[in-house]
Amino acid sequence: MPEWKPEILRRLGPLKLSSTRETEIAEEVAQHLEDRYQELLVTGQSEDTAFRTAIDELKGEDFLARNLRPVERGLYREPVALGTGSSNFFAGILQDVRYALRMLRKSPGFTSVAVLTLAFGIGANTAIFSVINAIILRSLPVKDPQHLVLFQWESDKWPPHFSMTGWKSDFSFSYEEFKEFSAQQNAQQNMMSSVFAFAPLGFNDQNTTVGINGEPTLADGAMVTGQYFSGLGVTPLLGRGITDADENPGAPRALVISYVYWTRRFARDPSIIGKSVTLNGIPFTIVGVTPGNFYGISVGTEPDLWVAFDDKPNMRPWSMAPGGTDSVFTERDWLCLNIMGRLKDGVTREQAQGALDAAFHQFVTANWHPPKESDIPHFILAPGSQGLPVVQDYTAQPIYMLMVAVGLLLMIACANVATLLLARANSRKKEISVRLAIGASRSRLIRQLLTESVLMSALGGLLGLVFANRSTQALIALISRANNGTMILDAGTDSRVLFFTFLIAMLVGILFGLAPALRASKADLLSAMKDNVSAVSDLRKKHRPGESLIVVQVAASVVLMIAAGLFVRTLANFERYNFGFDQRNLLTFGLAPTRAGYHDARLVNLYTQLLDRIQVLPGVRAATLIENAPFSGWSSKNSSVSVEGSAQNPSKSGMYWQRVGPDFFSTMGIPIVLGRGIQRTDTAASPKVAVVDETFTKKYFPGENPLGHRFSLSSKYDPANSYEIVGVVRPAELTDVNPGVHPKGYASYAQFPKTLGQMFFEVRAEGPPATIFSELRNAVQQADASLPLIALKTQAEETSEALSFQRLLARLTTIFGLLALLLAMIGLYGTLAYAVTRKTHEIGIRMALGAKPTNVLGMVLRQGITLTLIGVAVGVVATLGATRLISSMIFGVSPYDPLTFVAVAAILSIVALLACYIPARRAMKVDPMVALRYE
Amino acid sequence: MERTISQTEWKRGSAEFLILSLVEARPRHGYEISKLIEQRSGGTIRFHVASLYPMLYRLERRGWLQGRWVEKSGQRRRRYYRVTRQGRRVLASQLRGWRQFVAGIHRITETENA
Repeated sequence: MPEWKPEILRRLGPLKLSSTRETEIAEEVAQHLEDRYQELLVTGQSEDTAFRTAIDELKGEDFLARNLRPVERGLYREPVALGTGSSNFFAGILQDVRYALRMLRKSPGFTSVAVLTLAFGIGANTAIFSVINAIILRSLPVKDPQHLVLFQWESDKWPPHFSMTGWKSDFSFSYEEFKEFSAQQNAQQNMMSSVFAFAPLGFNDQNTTVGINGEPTLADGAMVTGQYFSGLGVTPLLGRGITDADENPGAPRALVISYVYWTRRFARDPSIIGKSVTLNGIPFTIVGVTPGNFYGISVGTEPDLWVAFDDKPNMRPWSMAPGGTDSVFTERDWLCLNIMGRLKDGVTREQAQGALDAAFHQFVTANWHPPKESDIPHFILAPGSQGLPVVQDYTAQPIYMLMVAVGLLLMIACANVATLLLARANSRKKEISVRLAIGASRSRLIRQLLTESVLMSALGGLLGLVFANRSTQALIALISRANNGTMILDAGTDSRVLFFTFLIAMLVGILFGLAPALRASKADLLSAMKDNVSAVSDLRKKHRPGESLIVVQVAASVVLMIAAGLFVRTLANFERYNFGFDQRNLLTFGLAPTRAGYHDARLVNLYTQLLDRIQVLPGVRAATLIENAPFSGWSSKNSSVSVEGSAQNPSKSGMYWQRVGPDFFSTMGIPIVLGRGIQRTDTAASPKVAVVDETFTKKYFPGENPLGHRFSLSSKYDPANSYEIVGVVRPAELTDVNPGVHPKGYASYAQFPKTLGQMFFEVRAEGPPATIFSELRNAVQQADASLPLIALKTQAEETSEALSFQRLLARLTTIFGLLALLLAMIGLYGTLAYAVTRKTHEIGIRMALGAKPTNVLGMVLRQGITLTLIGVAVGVVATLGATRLISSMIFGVSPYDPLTFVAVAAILSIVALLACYIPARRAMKVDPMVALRYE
Repeated sequence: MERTISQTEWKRGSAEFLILSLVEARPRHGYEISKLIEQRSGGTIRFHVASLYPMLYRLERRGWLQGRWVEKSGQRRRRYYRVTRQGRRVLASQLRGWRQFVAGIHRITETENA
């Protein structure tokens, strides 16, 4: 058979084509000449003649090259410029985008998988960021929030125990202090244009009883001073806000309601202004409605109504009365309100802070009675653009943890897509080589490839925004439930969120696109043109980047799965935890009779009578009272306990203290180990007694019998206000689902008529608690129809709600962990499947040389499992370093819990084995004869 | 269209048209195309290798043809060409053009010779 190729190649030489292209043309033309040659032989020509005739088709030495030159040099108009440099940068970008779109359309399967993967990763990040934005980053929806300041004090050594939060740094001040600050501001008009104060009307939501057309309902209320609305710069939607005039004693009682409340209760009645309602029995007139986007000054909480500062027994900040006198206005060390101010233009926080510091210093010295000069807290003006940080404090850590988790998920998604791109880059080598051959510059090529990946991630980002929108709302609902359902957040997609998503998408596109682009553009042209993949050792080198990506994905999945495992176990531990009291068939509801004018002895009598009524109801086994509903999160914590005759340092002591009803311990199922419980005979007329728990006795009376001993709740033992210990009980956790080991004490509610307020009833039913709901309601109604029941629910529901946060964390991390596992396994499967395809020729050789199918199976499985195990090892090491960061959020399980680690490693390995098995089986089934011919 | 078409261009233009129409029916390789053109024109039109393949590559670059290597068992692989959607559109318009041209010629010559 004649050799046509040398003749053809010689003629192609002057074109200086890439060897790949030359070879291709030569092969095609050679085939044509061979066909012609055979045809001529058939007609009877001799071999020589036939050869010469066929060669003549090439028309001399340079005819072929001349005809080919314009085509191969691309001098004809191409549909797409192939990287030969464009004069206009933007035209070049547009070309790149158009070309990229075409390339993406050409492989719809690949594009959909990549875009979806990215959408999940980007979407999850956007959702979490939306929440962060809503809770932590957003400013108050008021005029010029950057001029607002929040009054704050901070102390290293001496936290006054009467601060509302008990922390060392606080935003609470007393009314007298507020008056001092206001006077200062009036005197120094050049610093602040307004100073205003506010306080909620109770500890919990539903802190106010609102009588609408005679029917009692519950709402969340706040007290504010006259410059609150004007200082914030809030223009009411209807009517007006609270003004200074409303604070004057004897002024008609003005009420401002929120937009949401107006919608919920009054169906947006346009004639709402001037309507009369009662608040805790006192008549008020509605004078204004706030705009729809105003939620007060603390993110996540939104009052339904605002009133002017008023000191009535029915209506007090925090529904509480201070210790000594009854007036919130005169108690100088009762820190019940928060203060904000608006700086004038050009005034800095530091300037204003300096001006007010002296006044604060003076006030504290005179009124808080600090032990030493150096103990006096210092005064701070904190930035107030985001309002009062309440929700931020306890949601910050979990939210940042979630941010890390979704960040890991995104990393896995990127690694996955990068793996896909690397595989595709290999199959696009020919295309890229051709383009390089005809003159495309490497940088231009990289730009083109990056455009494709950025376009993919942009599409993923858009889709991710849609995912995020849906999931953010769900996330907010979950967080809100975990916060006792009181959180109102506007986590809509604002420009910050959009910018974040855009940024992430761009970074992600460049991140996962760069490495494959660099690799692909470096294509070895000669070997790229050869489909023949011969050398075995070559392959391992080529797959290194793909392999390390798999290891990264597996490692990140391990981290997420272990975190999920720890949170799931935490939730289980909480759910199984014995809190020390019997929760079966127990229900709870609260009453706030002080709002209806009950005080002192009348209040005590009301509770006693109600207890009597309820205890005889059919279906009720027992009933008692407790000051704070279990797991409501609220408790009275006293930081000072002084035992009679004991030298213990009072500042190091502290206990949880509750007023309870008679038969409390028997009703709640808390065993009494010594002495007795609280009884009916413990009244205001009898000596003050207390029941303490074993933690208390271990701390204050180790090895002794505590019965008969006395203690007082003050920094120095005060016999006049002391309690005799009459009983000891087993420790029970009644405050928080996060149990701590605190000493606890219980006293009789009847012995504190003056300071008694809201109480909760604990009722143990004979059967399912829900069956006696209506009877309880009737019993209360019969006693007083104006008293609404607060939060009537079973104890089981209360506990479950208290665990909502843990449940949220467990759910979210589990979802992320599973997603991560899925993505990593898809990546593993894809990499191996592609490796098998590439290695088909090698496999064929091996099998032809005697390798058994099981050897091949083993070879592929080994590669996959090795990668997985390396990934697991890296992941475990990474997790060991990281879990102590979440140790404060887990319970009952160590952050290095071996069971969780081993289980995750095992699950991952098994799933990985399955993922490897399919490509391994395919490898095993390779027919050596076909494989050897495979090019 | 007011344009002087050189003979080479005229031939090239019509050649492309011929190739497209031959490949429209089914994919063919280069040798098959050249044989068909020779046969169906009764030997009046012949394309040598040095002219045919540059033409095929040009059509491919324009996106009117798509070439693919095909391997059949027992044979060496060959490059087959099929017409693309864009190619079909071009072919249809060229066919219309040719028909109008031929009809025009026909009308003129009939009139002259009548």
